[in-house]
Amino acid sequence: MGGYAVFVWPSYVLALVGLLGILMVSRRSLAQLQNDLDRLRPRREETTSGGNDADAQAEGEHP
Amino acid sequence: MHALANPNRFLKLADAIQPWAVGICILCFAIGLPYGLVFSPADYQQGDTVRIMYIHVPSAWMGLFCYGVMATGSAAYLIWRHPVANMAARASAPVGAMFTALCLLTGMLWGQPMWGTPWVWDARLTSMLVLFFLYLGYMVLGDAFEHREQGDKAAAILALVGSVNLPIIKFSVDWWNTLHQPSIFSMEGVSVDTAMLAPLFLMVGAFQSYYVVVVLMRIRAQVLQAKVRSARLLQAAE
Repeated sequence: MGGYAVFVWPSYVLALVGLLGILMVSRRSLAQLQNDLDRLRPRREETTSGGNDADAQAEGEHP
Repeated sequence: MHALANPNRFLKLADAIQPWAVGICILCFAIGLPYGLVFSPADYQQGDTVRIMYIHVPSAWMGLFCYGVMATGSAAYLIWRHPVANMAARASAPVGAMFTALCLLTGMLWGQPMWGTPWVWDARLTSMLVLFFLYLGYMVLGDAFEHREQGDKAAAILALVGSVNLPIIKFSVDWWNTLHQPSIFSMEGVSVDTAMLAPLFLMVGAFQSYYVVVVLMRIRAQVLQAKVRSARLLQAAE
C-alpha cells in the first residue's frame, strides 16, 4: 500500500464493521419480533375461533 | 404510491425485490473490493491513499441519499399519512447514520496523510458532521414520546427542516474555500480516470443494494412490531 496501509486498511475494516453491524442488528431484531409474534399467535388461537385478529388490527392501523 | 400504503401489500413487493438486491450486493462487493484494493491504479499524487475513496465517496453519497429518503418519507407521512413512507424514513435513519459516520471516519483517515490533519472545521466537513447529528436527533426524537404517533410527527418535522443541510453539503466545496477536493462530477466533466471510476461505481452499487436489503428488512421488522403490539393489546383486552 505504498506506506499508507495504516490508513487504507482501517478504512475497509471500519466499513466491514459498520455494514455487518447494522445487518446483524437488523436480522436479530427481525428474528426476535417473528418469535414474539409466533409465541403470541398460538395463545390467541386457543382463545379465539380462528382468523388472525392481530394481522387485521395491524392492517387497520395502516389503511 | 398509495397502493403501497398497505404494509402487507408492500411486503409482497419487498419479497420480490429482496433476493435481487442481495445478489447485486454480493456481486458488486465481490468485484468492487478486489478491483479497488488491488487492481485499480494508485493516484499519481495521492498514491495508494486513493483506495480510501472507494469507501469514503460511496459512504458520503449514501449518507446524503438516506437523508433524502428520510426527508421524502417524512413529507409523505406528514401530508398523506402514508404509513410505509414513515416506516421507510425510520428504517433509513440508522443506516444513513452509519454511512455518514463511515464517511467522516474514512475522511479523517484520508485527511491525515494528505492534509497533515484528520480534521478541519471547513464547510464540507462541518456540514457532514451536522448531518450525522441530524440523524441522531431524528432517532432520539422519534423514540422520545410516550405516544408513538407524536414521536413520528416530531421526527418527521425535524427530518424536513434538516433537509436544508443537503444542498449546503453538496455545494459547500463550490461556495467556500476548503481543503476538501471538489466534486468528481462537474460541468467540465468527470475528474477521475475510468480505471478508478469503475471500482467506484461498483462500490456505489454494493452500498446502494446493501441499503435496499437492510431497509426492507427493517421495514418488515416495523410491520411485525405493529402486529406484536396489536396481538398484545388484544390479549390484554381478553
